[in-house]
Formats: sequence, structure tokens, C-alpha cells
Amino acid sequence: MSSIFNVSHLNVFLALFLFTALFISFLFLSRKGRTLYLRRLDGVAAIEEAVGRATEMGRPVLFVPGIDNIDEIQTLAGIAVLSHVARTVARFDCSLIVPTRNAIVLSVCEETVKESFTAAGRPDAYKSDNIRYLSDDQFAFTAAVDGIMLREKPATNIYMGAFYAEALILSETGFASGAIQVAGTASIAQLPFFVAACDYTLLAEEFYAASAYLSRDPKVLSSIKASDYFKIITIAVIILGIVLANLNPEAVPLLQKLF
Amino acid sequence: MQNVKLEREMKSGGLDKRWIFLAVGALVLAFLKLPLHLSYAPNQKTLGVYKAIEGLPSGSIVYLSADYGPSSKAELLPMHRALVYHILNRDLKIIASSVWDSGPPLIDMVFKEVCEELKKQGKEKKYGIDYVNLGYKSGQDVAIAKIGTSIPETFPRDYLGTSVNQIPLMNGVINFSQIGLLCNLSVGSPGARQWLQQVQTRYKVRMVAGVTAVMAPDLYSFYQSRQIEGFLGGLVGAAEYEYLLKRPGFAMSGMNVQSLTHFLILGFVLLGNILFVSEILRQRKAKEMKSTST
Amino acid sequence: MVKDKVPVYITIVVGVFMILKFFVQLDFIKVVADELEQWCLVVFALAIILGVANILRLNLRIVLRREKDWPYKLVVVVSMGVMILVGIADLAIHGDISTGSGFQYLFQYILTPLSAAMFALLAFYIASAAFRAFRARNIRAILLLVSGALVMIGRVPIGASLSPIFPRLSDWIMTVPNAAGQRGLIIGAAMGMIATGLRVIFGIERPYLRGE
Repeated sequence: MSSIFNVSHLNVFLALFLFTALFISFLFLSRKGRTLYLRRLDGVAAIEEAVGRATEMGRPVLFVPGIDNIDEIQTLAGIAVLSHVARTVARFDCSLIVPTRNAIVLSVCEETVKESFTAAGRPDAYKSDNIRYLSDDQFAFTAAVDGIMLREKPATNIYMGAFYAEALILSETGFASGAIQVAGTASIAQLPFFVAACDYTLLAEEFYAASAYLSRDPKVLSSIKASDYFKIITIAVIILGIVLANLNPEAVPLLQKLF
Repeated sequence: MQNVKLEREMKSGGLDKRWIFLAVGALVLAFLKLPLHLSYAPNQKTLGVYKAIEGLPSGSIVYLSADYGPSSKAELLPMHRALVYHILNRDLKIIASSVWDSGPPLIDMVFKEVCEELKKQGKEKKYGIDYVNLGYKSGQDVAIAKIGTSIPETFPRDYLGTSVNQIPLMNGVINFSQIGLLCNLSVGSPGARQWLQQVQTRYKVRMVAGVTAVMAPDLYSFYQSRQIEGFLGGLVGAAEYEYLLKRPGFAMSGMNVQSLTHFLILGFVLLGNILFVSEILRQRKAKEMKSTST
Repeated sequence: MVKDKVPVYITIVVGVFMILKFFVQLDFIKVVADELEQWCLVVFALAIILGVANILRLNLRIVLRREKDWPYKLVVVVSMGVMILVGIADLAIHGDISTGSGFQYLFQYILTPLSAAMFALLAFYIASAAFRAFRARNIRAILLLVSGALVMIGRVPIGASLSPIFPRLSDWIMTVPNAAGQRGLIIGAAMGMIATGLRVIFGIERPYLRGE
């Protein structure tokens, strides 16, 4: 058995098993009718108002789904939020610009926005020219998005996805152009820049919970509850580890081996 | 939304930011060439990188992944040069590659510069024997995972198109079991985090990193858990490394400007707070006068 | 509908294989997972064709019809065309695009300085963002201001010249409170990533499929 199973990854397997068990448990509970509570996320709640503002001003909404590839989880989470934003934009009869850094992300965003407009009953309002592939180069993409902000003057900028060094350049330019800005990312190094320059920021796991908040789908909410409870277990294990390490320092190498 | 507007006005009030840009630009231009004779005290993270390379037995192979582009050349090129110099000077070998498409020309350029420098010191380094540039592999995280599985399968040819079977340095190199140290230079993604996830955690290879100053806070947790033995953070890290090698370069000369710019920014922060406090006092006074008059 | 179900099944199968590869040491799993990774690399590399097609479709039409901002679109199309043609010419004539080629020249003397200039903008933007963000509004903001100032002074050699306490304080702030906060954020982000990943693998959330 040990020759089939990679024993050095046993701890990861157990953690994954526990997480999945929690997920399935909450899924089961939600199917039985239990309401799963999710606290208010200011940034997400502000999106509808921000889109309304853009409609009043007659200016577009700019949505940047991050600069990473489709295999990055943050990009997938950002596109899930894009779907809801696109539906809101369609309802408000506003326009939506989505610049992308990657051609595969472009294809997915095109389909997402098209279907969202159709679902909102406005297939005629969809403009494929507004979903644009700009460049694979990080700063060429940034310069192009800055150009869009300064020329087309969107009233609302939404940044949802993976961002790197260009985060501050995008958000400062957006601030200077007078747009309301909502950001969400799990790129921890860039969070301080978004907090400084944006009006609302979703921090790390709040960003991942955004699509659950918007859809209120019990299946999606179950995964958020599972991660919350798993975090509680992690905190308990950390405290236990601290206590054990202080009571018996010789146990530290064994604890390190376990984790 | 009303509160957002008010908050925004308060945030930007006081000074047109073009004055800030002008001041920063003027300071950089003025002090670019002025020596300040600063003293250096390399921190434990920089020393960790230095000791990791110093401690390798002669002939060990270092795998260097230069995952950055021309935009971050200013911060990462000095540390790239310093690391390659240190490794080759100690008669260690380097296998270099990149998962950024703009990486290989930079790798090529640094190898040429450092080998020229070492040649003047009487140390001849040969391509294919002492170092090799395997070029770029697309696919980001997936490419890194594949490199961890098998280096020759991921890079069947080097940057110049030569089959790796014909490169003496690649003889016997299959995966990271044959690698003494993994050294990653990165500015974002894919970068140090992905190498940690896909290679260091799976194959338990020793690792050091060089990152931009913005990415450096990310690596403190991994340094404390000993997943990386040390890292260089930004131009300061590069300057400290040049200081340890006793080889002053661009990083040490750039420290003049960076040191003074930090103080300039602190000056602006102080000014911003003075303006903020005076605005609050002015508003309070106006409110008092209004309530007195009514 | 088959059109909706097939991508979901593909996602589930591929996702499960990649997870199994991490835990199971069977040759069959490794061979299939490695092959899938290779396919992934090929798809990523070919995706550039999609990007080029999109740029040409969008920008050429605007240039030909002289619509709004057409000069900027012309620059995009011409720049792209020149890089592609020079690269192809170098490959055809010299056999590579390494040092000394026209492609390298354009990369080194046009793209490199432009990218470096964009990155350098960060220095100016950080100064203006710091001016705006570091305001002593309340206790937490004061803590942020003081710790930011100490780290800025301690991280440069001039701080060490002023007093050895600055680098020590700066190091303590980065190693203790910063690392603790970072670790908490990393753990939280990892939980979110696992939750989202499992939702995608199990087909509960399908953002790749019209954002559902």
C-alpha cells in the first residue's frame, strides 16, 4: 500500500479529506433546508450602486479580471464575479469594457459576458468589441488599460483577480480619472496598494467568497462554510502546536515531521 | 456613495500630486552620481543566501530560474549578476532557465558579462561545461511542475537549439535530486511562490530566492519555516549581496538615491499629516463659529 | 445538454487525475497526468494565435474606418506587424532570434526601456499613494504610519548610519507582526483557493463555461 500511496503527502491527504468531508456535510445541511449565513461584504454590495452611478453618468464600467492565466484560481473567481457584474450592467443598460491579458481568458470572458447579457434579456446590448485582448506583456497591458481609463473615462473600475506590480499603477490612474473603484484579489503583496487607492477592497478569502455572496447558491455557500470551519480547526491545531512545543521542545522535530 | 465622495476629497486634498512627482524626479536626477559612503549591515536573509552558496561543495549544480522581464531589470539584474558571479567564482555549475518569455535573453546577457569579468581574473568558464541556458518554457505553474518531474524532458534543447544530450553539463541530470540548490529570481507569477509549491515542497530541494521589494514581505513566512534558506529583497538585498562579495555594482550606487527618496517620501507623509490636521482644525473652528453665531 | 455537460466531465476527470498524481505513485496515473500537462503547455502556446487574431480584428477595423482614437490603434497594429516580420526574417535568414538579431535589437532597445519606464512609474505612484494613505486618523492609522516610517528608515543603509536601532526595529516589524499577518492572510487565501478549486473540479461552479 505504501508503495502506491505517497506517504510523505499523507498530511495533505488527511487535510483535503477533512475539508471535503466538511464541504459535503454543509451541502447536506443546506439541502435539508438549513440557511447558511454569510456576513455582508461591503465591496460586493457596492457593485450595484457603482454600476448605477456609471449609468447615471453615461459612462462605461471597466472590469479587469486580473492579469493571470485561466489556470489561476483567482482568474476563475474573477470571471465568476464578472458574470454577475455583466448581468447588472445589462439590467442597467450600461456598457461594460473587459480588457484581458491572455487570449484564453479573452475567449472565456466573451462567452461569459454574452451569456450574462442574454440571461438578463439584453442580447442586443452585447458588444464583442468591448471584450479586448490587449497584450501578453504585463506593462504593455497596464499601459493599454491606463489608456482606456484616460480616454474612455469609465465611471466605475472593478479589479477582480490576480494582480502583481501593475496593481498600484492601475488603481492610481483610476483614482486620478475620478472613477469609483472596487478591488478584490488574493495577491497579498498587492492588497496594500488596492486598499490605499480603491474605495472598496475584498481581501483574499473575501474575494473568493464574492461569487457565493452574489449567487447565494447553497452549493457555493457550503464551500465557504467548510473553509471557515477548517480555519477554526487550523487555529486549534496551531494553538495545540504552540502549547506542545513550549511544554516539550524536544517534540518540535516530530511536530515538524507531522506537518 | 456620498461617504465615498467625501472620503475621496479628504484623501486627495492638500497638494497636487504633480509636485510630488517633480520632487521625486528631481531628487533621483540630482543624487544619481553623488556618493554617500553608506555603511551596510546585511541582514540574516541576505546572509542565508550567501551561506547557502558558500556551503556548496565544489562542482555542485545550482538551478537558476530567472523569472523576470525588462520591467524589473533595475531591481533584479544587479542581484542576478552578483549571484551568477558568486556561483561561477566558487567553481559551481549553473543550469539556467526561465518561465517568463523575456527571461532567456537576460540570462544570456548576464552569463556573457560575468564570464568576461571572470576571464579578466584568469578564470575561464565554458558554455555547456560550467553553465547552460535552457531557454524559456511556456505554461507557468504547469511548466514548473514539469521541470520538477524531469528537466531534460521539459527542455529537450537549450536556448541555442542544441540537444541537451550533447551538453556535458546535462549528463546525468534528470531532476532535482542532482541539483544542489534552487535559486529563483522573480517579480511576480510564475515566481518564487510557484517554485515553492511545485518543486521545493514536493522534492525538498534547498532553495534561495531573489525578489523585488514588493514581493519580499510574502517570503518571510517561508523563510521562518525554513522552506527557503534566505532571500534578497529588492535593490537593498542586491546591494547587501554586492557588499558581501566585495564587488560594488549598480545596486550599491543605487542605494544613495533610494535612501534619500525614502526620506523624501517620509517628508511628504509628514506634510500630508500637517495639512490633514490643519484642515480638521479649520473645519472645527468654522463649526464653532457657526454655532456661536446661531 | 451535451454542450454543457462535456466540459464539466472533462474538468472533473482532469482535476481528479492531477490530484491523484500528487498522492498516488502508480505509473498509469503519472503517465496520463504528464501527458495532460504537455497538452496544457501546447494549448497555452497556441493561444497566442487567438490573441493576435483578436488584436487584428478589433484594431484594423477601427483604423480602416478612421473611428475614434484610430492613430493609437495604428501604432498597435504596426508595432505588432514589425516585431512579427522581423522575427520571421531573422529565423529565415539567421536561423535564430538570439543575441545580434534584429528581433533582439528591437527587444533590447525598444521593449526593454519602455517596460522599465512603466515599472519606474511605481516609484512616483508610491510617493503619491503614501502621501494620501498615511494619515493619522485614528489609533490604527497611527500604528500603520509609525511602523511604515520605521521600516522605510530601517531598510536603507542611511538608517543604519543614523542608528543601529532602526534596522533592528525594521527587521522585528517585518519578521514578527508582518509575517504573522501575512501567514494569516496566506492561510485564509489558501482556504479560499481550495474551496474555489473544489467547486470548479466538482462542477458546482463553472466560470470557464459562460461564467456560471
